[in-house]
Amino acid sequence: MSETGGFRMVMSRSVCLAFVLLLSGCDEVASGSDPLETGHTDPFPSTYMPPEGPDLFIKGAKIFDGAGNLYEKASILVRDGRIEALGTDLETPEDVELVDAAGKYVTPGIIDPHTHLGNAGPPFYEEKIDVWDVNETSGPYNQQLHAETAIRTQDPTFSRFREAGVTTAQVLPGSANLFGGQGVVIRTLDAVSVQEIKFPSAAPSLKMACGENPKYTYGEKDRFPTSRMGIVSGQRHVFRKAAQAMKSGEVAPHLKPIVDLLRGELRLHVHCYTSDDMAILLAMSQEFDFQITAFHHAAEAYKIADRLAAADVCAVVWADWWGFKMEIFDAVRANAAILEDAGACVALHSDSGITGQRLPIEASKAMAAGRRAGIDISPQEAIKWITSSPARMLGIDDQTGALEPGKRADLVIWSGDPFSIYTLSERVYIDGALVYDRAAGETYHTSDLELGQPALETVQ
Amino acid sequence: MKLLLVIVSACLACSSAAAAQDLMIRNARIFTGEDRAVIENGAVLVRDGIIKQVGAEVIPPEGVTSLDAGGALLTYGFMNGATQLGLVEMGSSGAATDTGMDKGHLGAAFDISYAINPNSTLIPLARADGLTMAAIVPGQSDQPPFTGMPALLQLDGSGDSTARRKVAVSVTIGGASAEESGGSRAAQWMQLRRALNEAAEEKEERPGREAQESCAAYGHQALRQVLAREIPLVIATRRESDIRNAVRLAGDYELRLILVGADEAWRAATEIAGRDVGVVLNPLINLPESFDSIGARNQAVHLLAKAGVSVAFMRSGIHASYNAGLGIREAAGTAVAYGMPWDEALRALTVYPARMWGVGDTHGLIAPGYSADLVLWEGDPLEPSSRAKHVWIAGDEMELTTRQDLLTERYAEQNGLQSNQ
Repeated sequence: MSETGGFRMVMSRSVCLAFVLLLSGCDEVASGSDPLETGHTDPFPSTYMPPEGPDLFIKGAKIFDGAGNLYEKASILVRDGRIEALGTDLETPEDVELVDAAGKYVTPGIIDPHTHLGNAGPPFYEEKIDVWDVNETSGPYNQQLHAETAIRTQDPTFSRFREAGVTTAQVLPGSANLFGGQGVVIRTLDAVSVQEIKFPSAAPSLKMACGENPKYTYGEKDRFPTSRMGIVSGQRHVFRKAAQAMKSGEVAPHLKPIVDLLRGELRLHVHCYTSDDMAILLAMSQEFDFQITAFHHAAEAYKIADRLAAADVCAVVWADWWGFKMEIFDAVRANAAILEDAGACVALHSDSGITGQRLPIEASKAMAAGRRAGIDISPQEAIKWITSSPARMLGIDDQTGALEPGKRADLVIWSGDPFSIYTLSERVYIDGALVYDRAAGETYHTSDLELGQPALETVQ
Repeated sequence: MKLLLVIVSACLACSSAAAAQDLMIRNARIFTGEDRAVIENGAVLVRDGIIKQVGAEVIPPEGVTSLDAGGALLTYGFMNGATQLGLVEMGSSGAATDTGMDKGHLGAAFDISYAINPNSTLIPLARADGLTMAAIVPGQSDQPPFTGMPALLQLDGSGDSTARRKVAVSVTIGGASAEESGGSRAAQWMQLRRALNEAAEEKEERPGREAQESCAAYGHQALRQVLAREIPLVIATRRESDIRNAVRLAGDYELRLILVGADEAWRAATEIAGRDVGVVLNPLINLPESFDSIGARNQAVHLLAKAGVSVAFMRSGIHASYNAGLGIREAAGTAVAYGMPWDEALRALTVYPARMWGVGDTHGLIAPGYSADLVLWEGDPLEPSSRAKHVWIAGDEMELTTRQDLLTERYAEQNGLQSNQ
């Protein structure tokens, strides 16, 4: 049995508000006689079967719950893969496996809202970008594409992320296009096809891009668009067409994802670095009445933190990447802290097979930079940048991202303070099942590619 | 912002142009880099930019400014083992990126030091992160596999920060670079050996008249320095077979060798140990980024150091230059997480790269006679959340405010942040 049953829409309040302007209420999304009101379609539905493990009692740990709290010497009870209870005064049950976590730290499983797991992976980092499977570059309008159709589940990065405590990740198409295609939320489990690891009930997502990447991609080919002006006019053209189609009731397949976005059925993730580009996109979202879920890479989000907060648009940022192109020349390490202080929604992301293994350290650097700028962010708040905050923007915050009763038992036991460079994951659980165990001598070399490789053998 | 103002005002005495001040740092926890790792409650006396005395019992001479370190850790300034700091400013501008050449006739003699921009905004950031010296390795020359002659950059903010020019000859060998050498790494090794043979056979002569011959002669001059062990040969390569080829070559010609980015070097650790071979590595790489680095793993630096190999840190990709200071601290911390002793990791940030790159007599140790390149830390420098409180280069205290700090200050104020004010 698959866990999905059927597509379930989880909308943030703001998406819902934008939607209210179009129809009378959010509950009407999946009902009514309008042929358009069939909801967003999912041609590659999840067949996810949660891994199984015994019921657990994790005892005596320092626990960051991902919801803003830190518990000392606390315990977590896990039954049927879900968190049943968390607290400092829980009785040890007799019928469960006891995990002594005295002196250890526990956090929710890390969530990376921007990866290319499986669609731009090793061993091809030194090859030309054409070898990857991340961008369709025959034309700039690719909203109908699905990132999941390019995912190689045997990418060796999956096992590294899992060991590093990342239990859930969004895989997005690349940034070469005005509309890059649809993203997918996955579990970091070994599989032989993507549907097996597709997170059930995650909100469908659409990727757009501003700025240098589309401009250079098509500029090199001397084809539209070769400038920011072209990019924005192309995007407005598509929104205008979609708005007309929605009105007429005749929606061509290639416009369906845009109509779904206008109807609040897709989460919009926009690759956008500068405050100028983000402000133009915000204006576009007002003109055509859609909600932007998040700006990704958002290097200059700190310059418009108040506006992002007011529009309820999240900023997905790095801790310290900067300079490698003009649109990230003004990035600062205090970006996340300034946004947090302004009341904006913030998450950290990797966009990298290496950085994705180090998200707690990214949070540590971003927190320290905030402290230096006079903004004190507590560790229990900073952990949200890599747990509950990305969960919310991916529409899975009712399922994971915080250690709260009823949620999936996605959690990590760390050797020490997760914000310390010396700390390593000890045990990683997905749906309550142990999926990585350092004490058992497990390594991250589990992909098919790494099987039987002499270069990985121990040297005596 | 209050804190930023404090940073600025704390360094009113800073001036890159001023003559080095005499200075005494006392009540510090001193990591000297020598075998006796840490001196508690120690003091360092600096005169004319040179460390004069180090120890628990240093009596401050009259008239020397004294700084109470409050028990904080004092280390030698960190050195990045391989970066392009000063060569890259902004990645999407070809004009602001000057890491190598693809036309001309310079080959092994291509001297990258002329391309270094001491006013690069990358440099103050790296310095504020505790970096005082960096090995600048060119990306490519017109005669592969040679990439040119690396330089050493001193991060003192002066108009001419190049500490040493032409400190090595560098080559890149492997699957990704072989295309430029006719499509095979075998050709790269043959070209390298042939060039060394030609340089050894050629007599010391004035360069010929024609530009190409003349530059080939300059290339041979550079290689004769390598053959005479005056400067090391630097080989950037990843695969075990190439690493073994490099070690064999160093043995055949009795060269000093530095291996850069040698992901699979751990597999030949015992063969490398005991020779004059240093390895500069990024321990964050644990993915088979290409078929040349199937064996890449987080433990690589630790395994090499444990076998007795002299190691130093680098980063790759974006962090190679844009976070040349913080990046190698994070690399060192990661190496410790995977088994390397903390004091060995600190040596791999200071004395080991200094020795590898030929400045071990003047840099890398907090000991009498060494250049006073010092960093006083708030916290553990291997934690990326820690910061440098004071940085001195040749006894001059450095300004630590960066362009990023000023941007932060400007926009945090515009957003009306009141925290901690």
